[in-house]
Amino acid sequence: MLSKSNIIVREIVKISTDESGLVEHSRVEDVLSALREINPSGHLEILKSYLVEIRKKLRLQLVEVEVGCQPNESLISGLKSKLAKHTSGSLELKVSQNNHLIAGYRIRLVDDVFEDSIQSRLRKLSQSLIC
Amino acid sequence: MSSITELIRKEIESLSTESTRTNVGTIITLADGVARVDGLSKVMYNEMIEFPNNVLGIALNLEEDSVGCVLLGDVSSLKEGDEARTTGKLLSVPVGKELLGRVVDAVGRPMDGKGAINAEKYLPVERIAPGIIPRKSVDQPLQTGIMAVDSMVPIGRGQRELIIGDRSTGKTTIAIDTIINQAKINKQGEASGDPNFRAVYCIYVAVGQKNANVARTIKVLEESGAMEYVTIVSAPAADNPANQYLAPYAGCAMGEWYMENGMDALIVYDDLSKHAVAYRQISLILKRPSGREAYPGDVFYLHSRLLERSARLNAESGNGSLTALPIIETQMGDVSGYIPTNVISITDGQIFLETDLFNKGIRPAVSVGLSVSRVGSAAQIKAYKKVAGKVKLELAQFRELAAFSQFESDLDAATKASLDRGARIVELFKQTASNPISVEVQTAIMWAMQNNFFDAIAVSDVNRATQSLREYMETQGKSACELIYSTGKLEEDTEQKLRIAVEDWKRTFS
Repeated sequence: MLSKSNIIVREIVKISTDESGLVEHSRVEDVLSALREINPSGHLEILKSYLVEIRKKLRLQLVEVEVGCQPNESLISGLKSKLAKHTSGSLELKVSQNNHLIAGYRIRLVDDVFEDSIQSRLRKLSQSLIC
Repeated sequence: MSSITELIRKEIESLSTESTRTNVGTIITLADGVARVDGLSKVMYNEMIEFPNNVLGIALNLEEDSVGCVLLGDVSSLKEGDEARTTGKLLSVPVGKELLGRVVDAVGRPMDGKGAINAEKYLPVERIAPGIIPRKSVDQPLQTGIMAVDSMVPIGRGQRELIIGDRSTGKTTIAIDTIINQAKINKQGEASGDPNFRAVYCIYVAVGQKNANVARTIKVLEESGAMEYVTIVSAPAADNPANQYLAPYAGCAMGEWYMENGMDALIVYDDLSKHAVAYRQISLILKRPSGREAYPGDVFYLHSRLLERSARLNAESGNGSLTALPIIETQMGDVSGYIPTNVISITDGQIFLETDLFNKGIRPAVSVGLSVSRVGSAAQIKAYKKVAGKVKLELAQFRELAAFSQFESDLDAATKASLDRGARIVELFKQTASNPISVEVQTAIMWAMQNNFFDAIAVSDVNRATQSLREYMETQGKSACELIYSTGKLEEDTEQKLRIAVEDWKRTFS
């Protein structure tokens, strides 16, 4: 059975998202100011759970792309247009450079990682040699 | 050098260059050998999880928000925020004859410094026990070489016989003696060249034991020449609870390989009380609801799923067997504890060892009243059954009469005879550690007892007489013993030969 604070958290998370289930900055601001005003019992617990839930939601909206080289504008725009085609623009793209990859890419979508890099191939090679 | 280069070249050529998809998570809390991981949405129950620095874990708690993993390596290198990734594999251990003579840890890694184990096959530690169809009843004996056990609580191949008793009552000794006896029989059988001979391979699983005790056990096995038939799986007290929890399952997987390949194996779990304690520790850290004595609700299943994997398979399934000797330590002789009653109900009988008997010098301190073998008598060889059939009853009567006779000064002749016989049997059953007796010699000794050859010997001399008769039967009386060994029966001509041999011994014994 859900506790009272869990029910509140579930409701305020629902209020913080738009029709397509995406978290909106302005809605989160509104929820936080309302919580500050009302100051419900166990508000710290509620805020903590709310933070966890919102973080989770935000992670679902984020696609992290790591590349072995310096990401240039054409790469980012190309990735963005491809992503928009598949997700109707609901996902946020974050591109960064990861020198450990040496070359190749690593895409993280929630808790799935798609990777093809020199680092991953070397890892596979070392594992096959150990076995 | 060129061969190494060639090997690396070959590996590079065969390396898959496709992009990989892995499921990852992040450590959110890390305590007492358990990591709580956020993410890993596609993880399987019992799947191996890879952490940084080659640390492995097992997913044991799949919750709505996180995954609880028990860690199997050095956790000091891990920290909050580290990445964990699924491997798609269930925890597996190496199996096969390559493990004989080796000491391994709970995941099958060598601990004896004798180099890598080049096992060709791996089996998952958690497996479903054989069902009803491939099983068959126990019908072949597994000789322990201990007279008190082989005569009163016989064990068959594929049976689960619990060894239970307080601390320092000789539980491990019975198990080790059984292993030593298997090695002795194996050597004898292999030397005979008998094509029907079936060796018994042994696995000794040490859970929560002191390292010194494990080292002593290894020494005893090495000195007795049994180590070549034994694999030791060690998860000592200093090891983390995850390894202690896994060790019996790992050992069982190693034993199952023999069973599934038409061979016979014996596995000793020393001991399951400590195994239950390790599991309780893990469960409490994973915040699972606790029940009686703070054990989790599935503590019965913990042991039942382990012991059910020991079985005797039928001819269609290869005729193999896995015999289990689990050990349970009781507190103050209380067999009605939570874990002891659980394991008693799962197993096919128990050998109960009494502290009082042990302190009186009656070793092995087998309690006649509380020890039982529910299926083993079907596996006893006919010759031995004939001479040992009544001994348990006689000894039980003796114990009862001995208690009453303390208050009675004037005893009738029948009671006196019963007491005399009982006292002699007690002396006859006294046996030193690491000194197993072959079944044919045991038969001869029991036959001599049943035919009143010990009646004229003073009770205090019975043990010496037994040793003397044993030596005689192993040398001069060998032909009678060989006849028992080859036929497995005690026919008239065999009895005649036995009588001649025992009468001859009696004349020389003083």
